Amino acid sequence: MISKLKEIYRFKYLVYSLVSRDLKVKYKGSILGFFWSLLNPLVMLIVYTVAFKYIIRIRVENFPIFFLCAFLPWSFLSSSLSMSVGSIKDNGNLVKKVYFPREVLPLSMVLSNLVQFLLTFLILIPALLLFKIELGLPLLFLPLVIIFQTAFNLGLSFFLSSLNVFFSDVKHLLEIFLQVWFWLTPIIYPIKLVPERFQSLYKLNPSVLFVESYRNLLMNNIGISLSNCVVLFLIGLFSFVLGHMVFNHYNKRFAEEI
Amino acid sequence: MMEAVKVINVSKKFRRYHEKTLNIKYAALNFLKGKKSSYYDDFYALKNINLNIKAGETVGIIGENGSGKSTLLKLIARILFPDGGHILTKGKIATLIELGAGFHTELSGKENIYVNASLLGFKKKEIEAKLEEIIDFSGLENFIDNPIKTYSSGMYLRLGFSIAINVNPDILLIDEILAVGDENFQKKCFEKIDKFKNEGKTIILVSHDLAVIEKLCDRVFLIDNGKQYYRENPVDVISEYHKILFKKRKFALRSNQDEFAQDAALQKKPSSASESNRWGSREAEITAIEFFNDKNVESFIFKTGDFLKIKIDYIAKKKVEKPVFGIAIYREDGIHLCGPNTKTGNCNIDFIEGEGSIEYMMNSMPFLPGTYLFTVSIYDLPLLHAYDHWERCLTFSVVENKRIKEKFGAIYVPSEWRHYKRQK
Repeated sequence: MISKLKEIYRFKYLVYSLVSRDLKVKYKGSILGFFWSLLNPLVMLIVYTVAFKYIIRIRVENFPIFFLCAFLPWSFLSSSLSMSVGSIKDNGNLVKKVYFPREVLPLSMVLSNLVQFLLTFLILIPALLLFKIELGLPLLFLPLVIIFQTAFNLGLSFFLSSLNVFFSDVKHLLEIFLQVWFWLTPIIYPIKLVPERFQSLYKLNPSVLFVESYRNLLMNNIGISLSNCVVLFLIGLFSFVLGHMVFNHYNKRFAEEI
Repeated sequence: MMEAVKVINVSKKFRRYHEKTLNIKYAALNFLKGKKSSYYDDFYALKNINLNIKAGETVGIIGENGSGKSTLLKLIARILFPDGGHILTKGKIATLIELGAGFHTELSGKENIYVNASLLGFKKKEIEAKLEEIIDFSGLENFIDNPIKTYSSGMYLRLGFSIAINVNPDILLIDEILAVGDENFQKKCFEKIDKFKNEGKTIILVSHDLAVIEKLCDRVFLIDNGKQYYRENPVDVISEYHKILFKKRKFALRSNQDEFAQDAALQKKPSSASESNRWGSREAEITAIEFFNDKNVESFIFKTGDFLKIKIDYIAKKKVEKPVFGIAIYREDGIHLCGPNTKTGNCNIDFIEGEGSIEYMMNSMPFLPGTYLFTVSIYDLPLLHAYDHWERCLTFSVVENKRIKEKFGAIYVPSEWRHYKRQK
């Protein structure tokens, strides 16, 4: 694995150019440019605010902020997965014709989404200030959480993109799974609404801890406990290592199967 | 000398799926039934291949379509992985397997150069250093900032080629792509390969074009049915390849005859040949075709300007009046070069019955190096009714004759030049 990582590092310029290609292609020729990537969370924000604050009337303070702090990391996760799941198969012409470490393909998708995620802080931070949310030292934990989440996303992307080469159903299953997962994550409702007896089961979902950590850091000005920090680190590490093991196992047959 | 590529006892098998796409339902069902591999079977594309290629060598790999030669190249390029044995390589590898793989049509030519070169494993600085050279070689200075969706297919290929050839590999793998582009572009491409050779780089070339192989390669490997054949002298390997091709054709011919015999016995229409490139009523039919050189030895490789004899054996099941035997020779790109027959050649045959043979001789075979296709036929006198017409049934190669230096166009015409100075 170490030698594999070294090789990926050797191809870092490929990763860079694939990420910038992805971003360029996405926003080239559109007048609003990268604001399109901000438009989606904004529209979602309005829809969910209307639905949950005024119709269903969930009692949550500062619902827009409450929502954004969880929805933005969630989009990072879900769009990383849905964009990287086909990354090997859709680049079949490359995989069959040129040698390069195949990890680069899902990796560049996740990194491209990371860049977009970081850019959304450009609206999140002003929004926090607008709602007079107190920001403090806990923000220093933020980079750490983002790194762990990126590792988590990467591991899943490795896993899904390699399986997708052999089973084209994976892509469709993922779509459904993401919808279920969305509702199993405390994005539009607070975690305390989950019945007490399900709480411990509910918290087995790794995205719960990620979303809660983001929310505590950004909205509640609360840091992360050491134990949670270790758990997040382990989630990221396990996902990455296991995902890459699966990827590596199938890697040798990618070019034959596409 | 150091070895640049070492292929040790390499085998490669592929899975042949019965279902076109594999889905989870199918896999799960099979898993539950406890039969794991019923939806595919294995077949070997390569078996126990051994190659030792020294640094600085140019090596050709030839073989029929599906013989496994491209698979071998992809194994060396690490696109595929062997199932048995292993491959050692030394130095940076560049593949010219497909030009412009990974181009994105929305991006400009220049942006695509960066992406494409980085795919080949190059760093930003290296690409920047080469950028000018790449653009210059492609001849696309005026278009390089336009998105490549506006490019013609020729421009597309030129850009792809310029990138692939201008990166600086130690080992260059080339698969067939020399066949693309116009003549000028091909010339440029050969010049670059010559330069690579002179710089002592290792080149591995897969091609159908035997003349190119013969011209460029120090050694040639033949792969037939996943197994390898090798002789020190490239010409020997190429002629072995022709022999294999010919054997297969002969086999096809024989099985055709059996079919004919059966058909005749069943009083069916005799013209139900299985190959689409052969037709005719078959009262008379071609049983063998052989090429001979000036030493009267069977061969499939000739030099421009050499003697060439073609012997056609036939069998006439009943008496056929005034048959006309004809041949045609095509260049590989389909250009019809000549089509002589016994009628135009004033060799009138009153009738044929039983077995016999026809010989056609060229004292100075005029074709320039390349691969040529050969057609043979028996017609009636007005050339309207085909007894047996076998379109493009054989190939033969023409290689360079050191005596003849011409290389432009298709044929060599023995001729001479003179120069006169005007007297003042």
